[in-house]
Parts: sequence; C-alpha cells; structure tokens
Amino acid sequence: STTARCSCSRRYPELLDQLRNQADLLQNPESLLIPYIQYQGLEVPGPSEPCTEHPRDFPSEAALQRLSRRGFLWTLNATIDHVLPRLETMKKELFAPTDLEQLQATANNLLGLRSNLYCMTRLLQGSSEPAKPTQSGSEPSPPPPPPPPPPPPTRSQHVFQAKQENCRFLCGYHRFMRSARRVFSEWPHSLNPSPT
Amino acid sequence: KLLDPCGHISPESPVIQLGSNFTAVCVLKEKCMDNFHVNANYIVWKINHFTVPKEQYAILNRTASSVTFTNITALSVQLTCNILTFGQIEQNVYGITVISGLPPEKPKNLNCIVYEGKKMMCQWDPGRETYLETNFTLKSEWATEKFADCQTKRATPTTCIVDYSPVYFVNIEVWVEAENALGKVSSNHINFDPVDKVKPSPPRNLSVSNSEELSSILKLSWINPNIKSVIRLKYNIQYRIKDDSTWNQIPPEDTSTTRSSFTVQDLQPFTEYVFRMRCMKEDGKGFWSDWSEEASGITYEDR
Amino acid sequence: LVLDERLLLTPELINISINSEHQSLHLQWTVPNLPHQESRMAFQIQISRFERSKVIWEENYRSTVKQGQVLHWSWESELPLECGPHFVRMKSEVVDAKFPKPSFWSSWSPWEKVVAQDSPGPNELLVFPKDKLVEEGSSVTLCYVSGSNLKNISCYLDSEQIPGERLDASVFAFSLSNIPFIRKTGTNFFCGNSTHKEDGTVLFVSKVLEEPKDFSCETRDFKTLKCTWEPGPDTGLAWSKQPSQSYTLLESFSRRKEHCQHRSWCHWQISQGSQETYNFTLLAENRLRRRSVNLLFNLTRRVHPMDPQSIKFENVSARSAIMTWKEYSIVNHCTLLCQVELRAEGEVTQHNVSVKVNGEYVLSGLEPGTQYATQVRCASASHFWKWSDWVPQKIITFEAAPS
Repeated sequence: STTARCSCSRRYPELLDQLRNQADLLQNPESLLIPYIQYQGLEVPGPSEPCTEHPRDFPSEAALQRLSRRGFLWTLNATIDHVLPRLETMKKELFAPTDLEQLQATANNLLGLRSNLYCMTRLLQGSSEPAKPTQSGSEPSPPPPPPPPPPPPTRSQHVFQAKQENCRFLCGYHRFMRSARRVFSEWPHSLNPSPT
Repeated sequence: KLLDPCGHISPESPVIQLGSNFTAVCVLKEKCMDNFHVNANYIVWKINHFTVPKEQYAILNRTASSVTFTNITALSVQLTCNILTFGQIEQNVYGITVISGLPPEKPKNLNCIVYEGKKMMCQWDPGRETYLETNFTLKSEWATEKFADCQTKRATPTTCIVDYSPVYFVNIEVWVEAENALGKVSSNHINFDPVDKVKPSPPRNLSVSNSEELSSILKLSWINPNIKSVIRLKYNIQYRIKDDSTWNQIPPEDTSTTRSSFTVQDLQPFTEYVFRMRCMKEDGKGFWSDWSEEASGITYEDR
Repeated sequence: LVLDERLLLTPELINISINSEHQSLHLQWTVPNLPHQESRMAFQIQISRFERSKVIWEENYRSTVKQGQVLHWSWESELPLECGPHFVRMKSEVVDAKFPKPSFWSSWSPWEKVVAQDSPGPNELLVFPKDKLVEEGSSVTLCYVSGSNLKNISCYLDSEQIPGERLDASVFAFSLSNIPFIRKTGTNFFCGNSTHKEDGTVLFVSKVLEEPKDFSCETRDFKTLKCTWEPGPDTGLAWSKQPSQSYTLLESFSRRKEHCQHRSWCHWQISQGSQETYNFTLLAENRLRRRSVNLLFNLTRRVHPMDPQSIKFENVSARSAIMTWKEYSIVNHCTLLCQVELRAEGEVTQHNVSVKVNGEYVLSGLEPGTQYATQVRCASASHFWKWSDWVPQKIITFEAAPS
C-alpha cells in the first residue's frame, strides 16, 4: 500500500510514548498466552510455568540493548514480520472462538506497531543519531540478522509437542515485547540527545 | 426494432452548474430530412413543453441546430427537439433531461469519536446543498497501511462508521472526499491517535455504603469500564440530597486519577443522598462517558 | 522319530507388523513340511513383554491349513506397543479326525522380538500413546519410558498428578478408566521432574455419538421432503483429530443417498415418480462410532401444507360474505381440510371446509357494519399430520340498507 508520509507523527516524544504504550499492550500475556494455555488445557499445578521460551525464537534483551536505536527498530520490525503469519496459522484452530476477536486485536496492534516503527525510523533518519556508546567504544553493533522464523509445529509432530511449541513461541513473544518495552523506556526523551 | 429516432440531442444527459450557461445541439438524420422534407431550420426547441424563443436558436448547418440558455436556475427540465413536418405538424425528434446543481463544497469540521467497544465514527459538515446526488467517502490510513473506504449511507450522508476496530497508540490520517457529477473535493486531513478520541462506557455497578463510625461520610465503589486497561481515567462525581434537584460536584482535582472507589465527606447525618458519575481519559483528550446509573445511600445517624 | 516330527511341524513366523494407532500386532506364518494336502491344526501363541520369560498373553487358535498356506492372526494390546519390546513364539498340533495318529505339539518356534520404539537416550523421556482418540467413558493405559539418568518422575493428567505402576526398570504405566470429555483440544498427560523438560501426549476424548432422536420427515409442497432430528452433542475435536459427526440419508426403495450439510436437518428431493412409501435410514458417523435410525412412512401421511394465500372476501353484504383462499403448494396432490375461524366481540365460531385448490366458505348471519376477525388454516384431509399456520384477515360488513 502506498505509504502516507504525512500520517506519521512528527513529534519524537509523542511517538516514543505511543511505542511504549503499544509494547505495554502487546507484552500482556492476557492477550495471547493465557487464552491459549486455557484453551489447550496446559495449566500446570503450582508456581511453575506451562512452558518456557525457546532461546532461538526471539532475540534476547541483552542483544536488543546492544543495538542502536535504528538497529533496534529494524529488529523489532523484522520480528513482527515473522510473528504475524504465525498468528494467522494459529488463529484457525488453536484459540477458542471467543478469543478470536482478541487475537485480531493483537494482529492489528502489531500492524500499528509496524506503522509507528516506520515513522520513528523516518524521524531518526532525519536526525544525526549519536553512536551508541558500547563497551568497546566502537561503532554500535550492526543489527543482528533477522531471527530465523521458528518453524510452526509440523503436522507430523505430535500434538503435545505442537502445543508446547506454540506455547513456547507465545511465551517468547510476550517476553520479547517486555524487553522491547524496557529498551524503549531507556531511550532518550529527545530526538537528538546531547552526547553524555 | 425500437422506433428509430429522427435525430439526437447532445449532450445526452447533462448536469449543469446552477447559474451557468448551457448549449444543446440537435442533429437530424438525412433519411428523416428526406422523408419529411425538412432541415435544421424546421427544428423547434421546447423546454417542459414550452417553445423556446427563436432568438436562442443557432443553425449550425443543414442538419444541426443549437439552443443556448444562460444563467440556468431550474434544477431539472425536459428539453425536446421537434420538427414541423409538412409545415404544420410538430413531430418530436429527441428529448433529454437537463439537471442542474452545484459542485460539492469542501467538507468541514471533520471529527471522529471512538465509542468504547465499538468502531470509530466520523462526522463532518457537508457544506451547501448541491441539489445533486453527492457521495461522501471517508478515507483513513496509517503511515504503512491504507484502510478500506467508508461509504456513507443515503440516510446518513454526513457520518460514517469504519469497518475496522480501533487500534490505539497509532496516529491515523482521516479525511473526507465529496463527489458529485460536477466535481470532487477533499476536506482537510486530520491526524490523531484514536486513543485521544475515546468516549468510555460509563462506570457500572455504582454502590454506596455508609459508616457507623462517621455519620458524615458515604463510600462509593464501582467497576471501571474495560478501556481502563488502555487509558488512565478521571471522573466527575455528583451527588444531591434525595428529592433535591441541585447536583453538587466533587472537585475534579480529587477524582483526577484512575480509581474504583471514593469517600464523600461533609454530608449531613441520617440523610439519603443520590450519586452519579462519569469518566473520561485522564489527560482530558476524548469525550466524557455518559452518566452512570444513579445509586443512593443514607448516612448513619449522629451519635 | 517323534522328535524329528516335532521339529518338522514347528510353525515358521514370516512377518510381524505393528499398528501403533490400534496398538495391535499382526502375525503371518506358515507350517512347512505339512504331511497332508490339508489338515485341521491348532496353534498355541505366546506373547511376552519386556523379557521373554514375562508371558502376558497366551491363546489357542485353530485353522484348516493347506500346504504352503500363509496364516494370519492379530492381537490388540492394552498397553501401547511402544512401552517396551514384545516377544512372540508359537507351536502347532495336527488335530484332524482324518489322521488319528497320536497327536503331539510341535516344538516352539524361536522367540521373535518386536520393537515399536527405540529405547530413549539417558536423559530422554518418552510418553505413549501419542494423540490417541478415545470415547468418553472408555479406559486407556498410558506409559512413560525414561532414560537411565532420569529419577523422581511425576506425571500429570491436565494439572492433576496421578500415580503409576512400575512395569519395568524404566517403564511406568497409568491406567485410566471412565475418561471424561474435558475439552475439544484434548486432555494433556505429561511427565517430568524438577530438572528435566517433560514429554507428554494428548488424549483426545470424544463425546459419545448419540443416536439421532425425534427423526421425522414431512413435505410442504410434494417437491421436497425436509427431514429433521435432534443430533445430540457435537463430537468434533480440535487439531483435526475428529471432524464433527456427519449425517447421511439413505432411502432403500430408491437406493438413493444424500449427504446432509446440516447437523439437524436435511432436504430430500422428491423425484417425480409414483413413490409414495419411503424407508429412510439416517446414518450418523464419526471416527469412533456409527449410529442409525430408521423411518418408514407414506408421503401422504406427512403433508404439512403451506399457509393459505390470497384470502379475499367476495359478495360482501350487510349480513354475509364469501371468503376465498388458495392453497398452491399441494395442487392436485391431496384434499385438504381447512378450518375457518370467525371472531367478533369475544365470540368465536369455527367451521371446517374441504378444499382441493381454491378454498371457499360462505360467512352468513353476520351483523351489519361490524368488523370481524377471521383466520384460516389447513391440514391434510385424508391423513392429518400438521396444521399450517393460521392466516388472519379482517372484514367489515356493510351497513344495513335503510328500511
């Protein structure tokens, strides 16, 4: 779709606030993980979690922290690109019919996040982003190659493994959004922060 | 075979701007001219069955005659081209309807509202009457997505409810295009975050409880609308003595943050009070909800 | 000599195949050196699990055997075959009256080992059966096979810990009976310990397919039969494990079949023949069960006329009128009995009218200048089945002429 350049907010603080709010919405496990666990009957007794994230699914928080603002936006966008199709396949059978509206809202919020990422990237392009101080003082590490999209459960995989695989994916997705929220909260309040 | 007309008028179905001039041309067919031994001079123009004065005619050539009207004011007229056959019998050659109106004006005061749990509705002032069928199309897009056009309904030409659910924290660009046969015009674009256009549902299950220890207070509690998971709320709380018509309002600064209870103080002992409340986004962007259901309670007796 | 003969008649197992889904073994064997063209024989089959010495199944099987013939036999295990290795051997005896020689059992065939699942690695935990489909109320046995390093393993059915029975050094079995339906996405069974990631399986418990109730068919126009029934619960399950049950109409006289698109009704086109009697079977089917109900009826006894149409009043006067109506749906098929109801100032009178196509009834004894509410409905005259709905119509009589 042809992009409408003018619908981007031109005010960095407002756009950053929107990105933070979006990450808040998307990290909430009530939106995807919990409904999925309930529908699939994966609740477990006691404090332990029904599943844990698979390290390969999403970049770690440490990796995100090491990125420049533009690198981070680029990684976030690439991650959305492999979450959206996965949600589409999960929509067909893995959520209760009553949860589909919430699933669609999450997909819409992801599309909205992508729109804001586009706008923030354009804002930063217009700015002279200072080199992100890294331990070695060298150029900020280039954005990592996009995380290989985790393979959706294959039909030959047994159902329990597939249930676990989806659970781990969603677990990782919410953690990734929490990490993104924390990274955004550490962003400077202005477009061109004075070098400290 | 349909009756083969002896000629035709162009333009076929014109739409003319009120107050402008208009010229139509009637062209006769050779075969008819031969049959009836006529030519363009024999053409008689009529408007709503009234003959048009000859001064407004112009013979273009053997087969064609034109007629011109200035400063058109009628909205819709029947214009016919006729010929006098054998000197006196009037024979209709062709007829058209001439419609007049105005091009659409630039829609103004475009504004949108998101009723909680519903889809965004936008409304605007359409500008002057155009006397023509005028279609309004609400357009909306993000920086990276273009949304489906929202076509207004005939019964509500100046409002439109989009068919997608609101997505908060993303600026959306919205404008209206008005189009009719005489032109197309766009409103100014407005750019906003739907979260700043929310009209929350009112707080519900408002309940009142008194306190044995303090006869001058009543405690209100309620359930906030679901939108509280997205926006922080502030409230207006009003109360009055039962059977009194004047509402008193709790100072807004006392109810300026999200909460689900409030203690009203300085009340008269052993008196029945009626309460109502409403809420909106904490920063004042958006719209007040409707008032909640009223709830009442009686302060405790003084010791 | 006897020893040699015993050896000669030892059956020879040529193939043992495993069906994991049905938890069954399928044996194929021959009896070489049969002394006769054909003889009646008995076979004793033994099945062991985990170790050859642990025989868990023994069965005698008799069959007439021709020389060179391959014999077949199947066995269904209560325990998933993957839970451990199985061993099979058999021996035979001629039990044919034609050959009264003293009978004797052959030697056992050598144990044949059957492995449905490789042993787990030292840190591996495997749970079986995988994704089993069972019916609500049935029993099932699950097991886990654990690697040598794994200790203190607990197992849970959904979120409830359940005890198991040790079958072998690293194999525990869990017998569940009268399993309830919990959810369409299956009941999760998983095992693990505090340090090790678990493995698990999903038990797909299907509601029991019920016999369709209140199966009934009727026609409103002699063109289409509409059959309806009470389907009972939907037995569909998620993860493509079992689609919702399907319904099929079969008619024995015409030998026609119709796959129904809806869970509780189905249309059947009445072919323009002279068929009056219908013998329907409604077949309900899912992956676990079939249910059917039958219905034998005569078409003329299942007529539910459409509502009367074009109600008019002719020759209206101060005291009478002719009420007419039409019944298009049953043109030339049967005679209808129609009821005309007249209501005025609280008083109701009812009249019956026989109708072929055009209904007509003379309303008499009316009061001048009075509004009457009338309504008409129809049913089959020969064999009552159902009334059509009432169709109301108002009439006002003329004022009386001045005397």
